[in-house]
Amino acid sequence: MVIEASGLAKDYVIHLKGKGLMGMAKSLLRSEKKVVHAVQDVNLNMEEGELVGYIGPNGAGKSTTIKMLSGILTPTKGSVRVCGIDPQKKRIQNAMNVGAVFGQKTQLWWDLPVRETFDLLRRMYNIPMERYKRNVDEFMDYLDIGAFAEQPVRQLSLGQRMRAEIAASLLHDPKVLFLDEPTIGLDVNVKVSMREFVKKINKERNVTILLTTHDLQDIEELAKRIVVINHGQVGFDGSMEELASKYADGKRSVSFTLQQDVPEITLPEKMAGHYTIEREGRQVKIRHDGHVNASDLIVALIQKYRLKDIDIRGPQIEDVVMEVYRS
Amino acid sequence: MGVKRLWFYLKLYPCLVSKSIQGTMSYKGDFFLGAGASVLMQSLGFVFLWAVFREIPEINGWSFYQMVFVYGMSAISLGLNEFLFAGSWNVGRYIREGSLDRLLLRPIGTMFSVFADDVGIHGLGSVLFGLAVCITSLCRLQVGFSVGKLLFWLVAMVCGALIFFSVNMICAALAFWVTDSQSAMILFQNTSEFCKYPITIYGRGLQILLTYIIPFGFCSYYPAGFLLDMSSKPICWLGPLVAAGTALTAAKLFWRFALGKYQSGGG
Repeated sequence: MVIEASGLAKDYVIHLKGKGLMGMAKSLLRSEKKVVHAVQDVNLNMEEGELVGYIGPNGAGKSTTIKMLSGILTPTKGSVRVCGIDPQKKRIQNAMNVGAVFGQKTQLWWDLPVRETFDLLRRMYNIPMERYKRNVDEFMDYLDIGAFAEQPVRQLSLGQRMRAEIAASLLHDPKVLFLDEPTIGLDVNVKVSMREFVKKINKERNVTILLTTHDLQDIEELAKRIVVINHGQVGFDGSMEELASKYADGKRSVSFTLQQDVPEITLPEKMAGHYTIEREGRQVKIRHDGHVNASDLIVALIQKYRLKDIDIRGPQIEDVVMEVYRS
Repeated sequence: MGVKRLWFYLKLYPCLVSKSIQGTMSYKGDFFLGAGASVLMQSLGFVFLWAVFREIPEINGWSFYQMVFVYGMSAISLGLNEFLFAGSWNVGRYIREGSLDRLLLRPIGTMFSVFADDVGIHGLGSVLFGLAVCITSLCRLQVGFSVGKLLFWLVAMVCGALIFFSVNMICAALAFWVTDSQSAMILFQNTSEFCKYPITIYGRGLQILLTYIIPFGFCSYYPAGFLLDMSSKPICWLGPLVAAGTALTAAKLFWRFALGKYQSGGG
């Protein structure tokens, strides 16, 4: 196991400030505390080379988990091992094994050109020159960083910066990579090239990747395994297909237009109870669950009726995830 | 920490600092103003010293130029601290903005990251002023100086800077609880004023405080006593090393404890 977290919990203590001048004076003397359970009892195991999509609504505890795995935060309860190391007790050793990209915060030096930032990281991580050169060349080429490598980070566009960030996080050949909303705010082109790059790194270098994102397309294209966290607890851990079959009931549909007036649409006996029909004149939408195959349904329809504009929809990941978040 | 690791940090420090200077130098006006202001501040204190000594030729067995030497040593130590360890003033900001995350992800000590992230070039103004004052005083006093003493002087000044830094770091670490620790830092910074003069001129309580609790006495008074042949007690020549070592260890332990309380920011 590359990542082993069990019974992981993190509480935040928030000091509540009173309202107005009197309240402020009062809270100086006796501040009221509120404990927020950001993460409670999270168990997460990841094998080497796995790419896990870690999703959940805002404030669910995704970043807090990543921060505990990367040695930034000390867990209130539970144990963490990353590559067999306790990230809090041996923070520096852990830092050599992991790389991290936080979409909301930069890891780079604001005033330094990208190339100098890379050089500084080389010294910090004691990266052998040969390996460093190989990595820089590969990343610069693949992510097209060369075009802005001499510009200070503060002058880069978000897309350029994120490409530099992910390259910077991989220079020291980490075994584990944490990507916390790496595609946030990026345009479609950059998103696609980021995804391709993440895929490539995962495949070619066998880097274990934990990815959080609100863009479900990232998840669909990258993650075979999905962990859903909500209110600090893991609500689901499994494959995309399992997630869909568990939460996608009534999320599949076949829509079409009838070419003649039909009083009532009837479907084979064996499908009974697994579908509902919504109809508005000749416009028909049949919602069905996983027991009914869309192609069987269409075959059955075509035998009886003349149809056009057939539209088949599988479970939309957005709907599925919304369903999980609600539960 | 092994020798190898120490060497690694010594090599890394100039790289980090030169990057930070690149940023500072782009505000050249600020730089010269800062250096000028710090020389002016030190000079004003010096004028005060001179004014007092016009009336009283000797205080507690310390002559004018001996006092000047103490004053100069404190200026050098303070200046070195300001120059090397200016980053400690940013701790509060790092915590408030959650940017300590960035430092915690690096495979290097966080205290090192904190002080190597910034440089207070204007501290060099203090150092130059202190050196000038000390050398003047040494010439006037005609104290015998040897290579050994010169080395001790260097070590003592670095120890002094480390003592200031340690106390500063402990105050800065309070930011993990109160989110803004600058007022505590300023309070202790002001305590450093006491070490501009031989601490024997203060009451007993203050002397104990400046020796055992906030050991600023070891930044100037004690080593100066040894350098000027006024005392050869171990507290004068070994004291600075012990005080610096103890203070640094205390700061390190407290810093580590404080890091465990870090809450970062957002989600």
